[in-house]
Amino acid sequence: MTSKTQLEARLSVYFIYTVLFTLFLFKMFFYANEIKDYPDQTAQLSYVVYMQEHPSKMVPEFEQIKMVAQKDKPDGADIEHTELKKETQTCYLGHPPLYYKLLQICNVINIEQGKIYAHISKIYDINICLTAFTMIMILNFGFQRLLKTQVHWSIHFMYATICTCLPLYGYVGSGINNDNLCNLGMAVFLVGISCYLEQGRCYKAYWLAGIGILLCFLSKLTSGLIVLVVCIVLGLLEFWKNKNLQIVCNKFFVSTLPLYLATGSYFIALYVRYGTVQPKYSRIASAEEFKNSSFYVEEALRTKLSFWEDSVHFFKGLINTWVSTYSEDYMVTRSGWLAVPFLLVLLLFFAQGVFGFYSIVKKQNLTITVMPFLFVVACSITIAVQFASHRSSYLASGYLGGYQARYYMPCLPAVAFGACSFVQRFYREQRKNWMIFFGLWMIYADFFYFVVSYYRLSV
Amino acid sequence: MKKSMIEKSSIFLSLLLVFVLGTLFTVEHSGGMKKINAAVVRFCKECAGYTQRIHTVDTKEEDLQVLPLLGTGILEQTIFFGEEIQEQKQLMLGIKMATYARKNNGILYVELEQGEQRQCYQMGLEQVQDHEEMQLLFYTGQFQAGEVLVRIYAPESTGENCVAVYAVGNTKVYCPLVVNGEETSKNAVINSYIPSKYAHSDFVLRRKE
Repeated sequence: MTSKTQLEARLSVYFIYTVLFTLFLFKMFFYANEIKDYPDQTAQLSYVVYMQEHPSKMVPEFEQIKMVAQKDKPDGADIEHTELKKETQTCYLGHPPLYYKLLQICNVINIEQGKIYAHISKIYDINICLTAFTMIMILNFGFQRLLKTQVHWSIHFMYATICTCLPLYGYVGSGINNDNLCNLGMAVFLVGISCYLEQGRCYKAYWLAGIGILLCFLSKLTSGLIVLVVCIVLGLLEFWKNKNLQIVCNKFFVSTLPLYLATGSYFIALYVRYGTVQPKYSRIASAEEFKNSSFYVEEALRTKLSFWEDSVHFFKGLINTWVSTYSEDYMVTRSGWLAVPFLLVLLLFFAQGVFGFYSIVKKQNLTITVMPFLFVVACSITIAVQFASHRSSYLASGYLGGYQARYYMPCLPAVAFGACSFVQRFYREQRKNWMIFFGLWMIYADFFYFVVSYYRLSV
Repeated sequence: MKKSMIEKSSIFLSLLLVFVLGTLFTVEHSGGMKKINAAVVRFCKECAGYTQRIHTVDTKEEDLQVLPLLGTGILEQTIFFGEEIQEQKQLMLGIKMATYARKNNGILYVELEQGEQRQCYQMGLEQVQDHEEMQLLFYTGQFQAGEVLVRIYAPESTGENCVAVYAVGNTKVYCPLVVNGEETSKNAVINSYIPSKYAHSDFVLRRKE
């Protein structure tokens, strides 16, 4: 390739990433200004209010977190200074407090003479910044790895569209939700793990992975479980390959121990208080309150589902929420051809996971090709654990939720990278139009389809 | 590609994206983003609106005439429901009306009837605009594909206080406009619309989960 064509190719790649990142940001501003209605927004706000009232508490007393109601809807002028009213109902969130601590430090809640005010637009701005920096990290991760292998710009386009056009990523990313910190944590962890697979043991790899683990565990347990499984599987593979424990017995790992101690001490304190690492609503609310909540269904009114029917319900819900944009009030699903690109991405990711496993079996060195395999295993185990939790909740209280794909959304960069690595194996110059079509179709199916469908309600 | 080159490119890309982030935040806080968003909303509402016109009654712009709705007088026009209306479960009827360039008072009734099924729409006569199409939204889920009778009347109307419905020459003898029980050689000017084909009905209310 001549230097001129190289330069042109590089410029087109910069152009792709910049345009898609701009579109992603625009979507987030649009959601924050026009759509709002984020999933669990009130419960998340209640948690921040609690943290503001108890700034020194590192382990919250979940039963003390009370729901708040917005006196004024966060529209127009009220968005700057929304008054919140405390209610008697206990908040149903049992997440670790790091995200809420961050918002408390940013001073988004003001308590003046017993009245609580929320600076909603500031909350949105903080979350948009958080998600934007996560996206910059994710795009950079793919950009560097794909640039190394000198792939065609259409594969860069495919990677950038997968990252920026997953329906719920930008929507949840612009609102108040602890998933946003999980996304950042997972991106940092992914860069750390990739660094380890590419460069071997070094401070950069261990510290990035350690910070990622801390952020994931202290934001949401589901993403904590994913990073834990990735670490365990990687450790086992290293042990199997090298027959030693060098992965943890080294100065780099020892230097990161404070991070793990901080993470571990929170969960130990939680376990001592509640006897579990994730307190459920049935444990933190009073028996009467729990029975009156949406997490409990009267025995006579329960939908009777066999194990098989419940599995179908769970996995249908999982797939459906992967291709949907939803909140408490509405759900825009993509069916038929509109759902195809989002499902195809998952299929390609799993296929690349199989290739990763094959390269391990062939006793090749552990390289970046193994990364999708690690995440396929981690996601599968986490989904199985989540299903077990869903099933036990259903049997105990008739509650049929807990299947949302949002919980696995932080793995998006691994999914996108895996899918693109798989495509790269079979890439021919003539097939570039397929990549472009795929990307454009995804852009349409994500934002444009959503907004047009959303505004059907108000027409 | 050299490692140092990749690192330089990566830093350049990061700076570029941070610059974009800064620019969009500036646009947001200067109020520019709200204007862009408003334009997008307008465009989407246009796309999502009842913009797909469908054929339910024959109308041609010839022998144009206005037929007043007086007292006990009733206009009856048969229209045809195709499968697309059944699929969408909603229909916007656009009835072209006139007010004789004055403000009228009273209630206008527009009914859809098919066998036992009946749906009625009421509105004030003062809302009718002169020489304009009056758009009424009906939820048509209970109707079957086939003929549906549109009945229009305004019982409180008098000669000095009434509105009128536009009618044109009937291009086919089939199902003409019936005025006070008598068939005419005309058809009422009724246009029918269903939601845009760009917005499918995947919009569902979600259970609290």
